[in-house]
Amino acid sequence: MSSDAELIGRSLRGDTNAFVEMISRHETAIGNYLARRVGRQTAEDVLGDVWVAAYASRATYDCSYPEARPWLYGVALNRLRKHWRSEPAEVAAPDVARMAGDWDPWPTVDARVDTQALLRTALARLKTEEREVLGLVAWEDLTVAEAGRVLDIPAGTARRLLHQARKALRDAPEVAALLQVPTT
Amino acid sequence: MDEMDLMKKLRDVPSPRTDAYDSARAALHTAMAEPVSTVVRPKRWLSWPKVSVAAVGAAAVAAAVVMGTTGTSTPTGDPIIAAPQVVDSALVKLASDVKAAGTLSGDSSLVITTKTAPDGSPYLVYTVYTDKGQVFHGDSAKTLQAAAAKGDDAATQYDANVMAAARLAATGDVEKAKIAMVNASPNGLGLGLSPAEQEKAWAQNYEVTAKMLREIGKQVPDFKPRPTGKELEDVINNRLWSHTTYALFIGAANADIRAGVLKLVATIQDVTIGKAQVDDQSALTLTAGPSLQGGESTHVVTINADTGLPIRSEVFPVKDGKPSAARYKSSRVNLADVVAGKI
Repeated sequence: MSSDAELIGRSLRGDTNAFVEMISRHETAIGNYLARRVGRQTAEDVLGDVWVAAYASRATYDCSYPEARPWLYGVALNRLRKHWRSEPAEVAAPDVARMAGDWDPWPTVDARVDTQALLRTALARLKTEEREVLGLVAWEDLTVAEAGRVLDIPAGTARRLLHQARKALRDAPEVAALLQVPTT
Repeated sequence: MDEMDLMKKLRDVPSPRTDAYDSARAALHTAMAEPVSTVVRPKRWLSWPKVSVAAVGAAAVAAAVVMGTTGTSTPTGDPIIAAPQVVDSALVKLASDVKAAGTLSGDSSLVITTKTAPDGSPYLVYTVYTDKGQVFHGDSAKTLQAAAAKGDDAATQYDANVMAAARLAATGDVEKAKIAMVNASPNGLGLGLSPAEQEKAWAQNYEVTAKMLREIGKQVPDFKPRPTGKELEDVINNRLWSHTTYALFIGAANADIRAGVLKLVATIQDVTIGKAQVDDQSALTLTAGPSLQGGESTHVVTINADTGLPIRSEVFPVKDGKPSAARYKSSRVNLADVVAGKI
């Protein structure tokens, strides 16, 4: 089977089907990555833009990497950044109504939801780059070096960011509390 | 269990649907078949359509949206051209003050935008817009420096168009500037053309849209005539509002851009002006109600009452959905300082 790098090379010589074959290997992973970041609806809107951007920039692909998935994550992240930039007033603001009261009628309905809310609160306090590295490693199963490749930063820097992110999470009161009690 | 195990609990989300993958591939096939054109900023009029059409679709999608909101009456002329009167003298006076004060030293505008990403996390956008028309983006001072140092110019034709229109409003003919601002992104309205040419442009735009939709397997909406009267005025003013506020958000630190934006906004009758106090600053609120937002939301832009610099932008949906907000900090900088990491 041809490597991703070989398929990209063939696409540069005019074989567009080779590029589609390469995309098909990773579309589920990239689609889920987008959905985790911006929700399913926006992910569906943006996915085509990601493929088009990847195709337009394939000449810059470093063919010393046989596996293209980290590169595609990088393209996807750039598209998300562009999406957020271009929609200055259409991103969700903090839902202050939910934070207004301390009465919660649903404490036992879905503990998982609480876990998610607490974790997201802690994640929101991380620096952007820390959060990116953490997400790529924890959710996308990339190595730290691959996460660095996605973000165009040295592997050592990515390792430091991951370390900082994990420490900040551990030290966050919400996460510390979660780590001390059984969760579903 | 450690923090990484907890993180994995956030991993499961609803995946994109099968037809979304098909549409995405169709968009790729379209892009591979045709030269990639500039993707312009979508209007805020309605949400970005579900079809992914980055390569050829921006103009066509705008047309499709417009066509979806049109009536069936006979064209009677364009109110934006017929009546380019200025309706709020407070904004014009502020524009005059801004223009008189002149642009501060430096060769670029730096705008730092704070938003909330869809996952609830804070998100910073650093944008440098140079007076020469280059645009550099970053999500931190460091990545902004990297983009500027690499010359990673993200300027689009759309950026150039809205800036040129704002400058024209500040220094020249406001009526022509309005047309230029509305036409900053492709559309089928044909503003500035004769009635016959407008009808032709409208029909041609429909054909472009229909072709694109057919190529990606989507249903082609029935043709509707070009809107007229108040409906046309709302469509035009929606674009005018959307494009001028975009110009303000990326180029605010340039006095000409700011003055031009204020003059153009002052011509939109349905924008209401209010006074407010924000973060110990005297502020003006510019409110574009639902008639300017496709009936879906109210958009409020808050600017400093003395300088015209943007402070924040908020959208309040009419029905469902959360309000959204972005905050802005603008300053003049030198590109060389950005490249050198001195900001």
